[in-house]
Amino acid sequence: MSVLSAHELQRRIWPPDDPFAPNRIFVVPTPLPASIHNPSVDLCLGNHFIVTRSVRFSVLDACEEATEKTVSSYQERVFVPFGDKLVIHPGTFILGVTWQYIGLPSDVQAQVLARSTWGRAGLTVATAVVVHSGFLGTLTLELVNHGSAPVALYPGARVAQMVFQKVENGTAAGALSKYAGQTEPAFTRMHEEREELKQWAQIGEKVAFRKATELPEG
Amino acid sequence: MSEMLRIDRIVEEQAESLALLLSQVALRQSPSAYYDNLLGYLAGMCARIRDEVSQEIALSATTEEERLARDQLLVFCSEALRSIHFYVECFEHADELTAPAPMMQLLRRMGDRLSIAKPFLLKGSTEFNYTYWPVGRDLNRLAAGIPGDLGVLDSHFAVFSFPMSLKRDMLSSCALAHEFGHLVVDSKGLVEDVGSRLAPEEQRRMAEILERHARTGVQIDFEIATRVNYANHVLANWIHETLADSIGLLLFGPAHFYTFIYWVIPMGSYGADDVEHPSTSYRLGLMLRGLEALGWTDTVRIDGDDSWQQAEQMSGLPRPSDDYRFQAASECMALMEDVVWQVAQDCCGAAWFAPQDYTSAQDRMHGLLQRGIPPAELLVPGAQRFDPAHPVAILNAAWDFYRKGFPEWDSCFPSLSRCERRAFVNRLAVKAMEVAFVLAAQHQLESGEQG
Repeated sequence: MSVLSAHELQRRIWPPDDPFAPNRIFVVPTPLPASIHNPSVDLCLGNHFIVTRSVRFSVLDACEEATEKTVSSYQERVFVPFGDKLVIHPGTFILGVTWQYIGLPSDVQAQVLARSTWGRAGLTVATAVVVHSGFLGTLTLELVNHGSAPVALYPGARVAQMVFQKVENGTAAGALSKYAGQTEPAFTRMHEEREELKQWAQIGEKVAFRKATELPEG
Repeated sequence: MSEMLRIDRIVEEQAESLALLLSQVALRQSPSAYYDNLLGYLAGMCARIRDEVSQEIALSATTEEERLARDQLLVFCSEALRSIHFYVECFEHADELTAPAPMMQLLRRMGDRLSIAKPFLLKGSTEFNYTYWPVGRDLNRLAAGIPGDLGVLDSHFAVFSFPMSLKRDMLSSCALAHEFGHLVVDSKGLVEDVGSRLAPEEQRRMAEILERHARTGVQIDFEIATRVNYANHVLANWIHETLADSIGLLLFGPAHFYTFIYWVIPMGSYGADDVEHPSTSYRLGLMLRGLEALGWTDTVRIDGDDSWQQAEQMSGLPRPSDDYRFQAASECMALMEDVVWQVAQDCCGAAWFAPQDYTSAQDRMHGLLQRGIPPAELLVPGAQRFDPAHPVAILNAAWDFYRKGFPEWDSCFPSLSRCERRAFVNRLAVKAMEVAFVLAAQHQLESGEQG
């Protein structure tokens, strides 16, 4: 897996002949070729956020039947127009979204990284940093203020950058992940992994791991 | 006396609860300055009424006349407070107002191009339908009865409401073009314009038609005059409605028509004539003739599109009615259809969405939609730059893509159901419009253009 150079990135984003070339990387709005100096593309904050609010529940549990409902009462959508700001307080977590809509071909994957300008203010923008090949949509950013002062977030601010990597035998184009095709930040869908976790529970029953003190004698 | 005290208490409680609601709503996220202005105005009305109520309660009415006058004033204040409460409740959910933000932006831009500097808002509602609500006019009527100088709101301040269940459905939101058409008609006095453009001979014939139908089965002159007025009222409403349809078609092109046919046909609603609207079949016929006149028919007609064929069949359906008002209005509309269309065209002027605005970009936009990419920007041939796509072209491309059954998506996105595909197209259209507006603004800033 190799990082695409600035030249290769320009060629992928601005295919010289065919705008619908199968290996084109779509970044909408498209950055001008002259602005692609480094092997990365800057990503701006979009207008949509999900903020968390305190409600009376004990835990977000993917295995609980009511988790889907619980999550929607735990998180609230907020629209912040360009020119306005959303202040993120120390120690808090919100979901944002990139202004850019990304379409990756089957032979490219990407990583989302914070820009150091914002990192130095205490802000991290992404924890789930890998964007799989074939992805379509805006990227949900997990924004956390690790600093000790509130930070004002402005839609349009260049908070992250995307580095692209060539992948051999990547995902077939259009094989949408469960978060793909979104244009707003997406709530967690941890409840969709319930079946997977149930399988682990069944495995647990079969192998019957126990602490040493719980082992039957004999 | 006990009755009097009861009204006092009710009005006081009403005023207090309204003030509380206003203070709560004021804390919410504000979507626009118009919203703030309207809330401020409503708060002013509320405060004025509260003052008036306090003064009245403090005064001791001694005579029966004084008591009666005070009673009447308090009843009026109570009704006014109830109306204001209703308006404030409508604006309570500020978030809902921002739902189809690009659609709001598009309508604002159209308002600018048509020189309609009238404020308006979009509001989600739990109603089934899209509606036009001339709030400014209604509030001014209310304010006229409230003592003290409250100032006058822009009488064309309007609210367009849309069904909450469709707030993310950009395709259906094209129905707002019709509601916007109502605002244009009111702002520009187009119904009166239609009347003034009729030749004396046509006016005479119409008066004759109205009187002939009003006379059916009636002998007394006074009653006939009243019935003519009723029929005239229906006719004015129908002109308003058909003008709004025509303006919607001129500004949004076929997207407006698709919204209408995909809305009415699945419901099997053939919409009979009523006091506010001519029948669905008549409106469909008018829009089909409009599309033909504008040169759209060959561009957007899709062979095998059942909805289009059904629309054509529906437009030819007879509209039998026993109501003399509808018979009279139908006959008059047939006479003045060309004038209505001409008035709408003249009003829209250069702001209309022409077929070439779409056909020049149609293939490229479809190519992007097939790849699941928002058709927001179009590469300028021979130049290393993109131009923003026309927002109405985006809507039309999304509609066409949907009507064609999502070409290529069976292989690209086989796991998506038809419902999910429609939702995806809607998201792509919203994103494309958002980006197109921002790109256009950036281009303006770079070139130093105004507006």
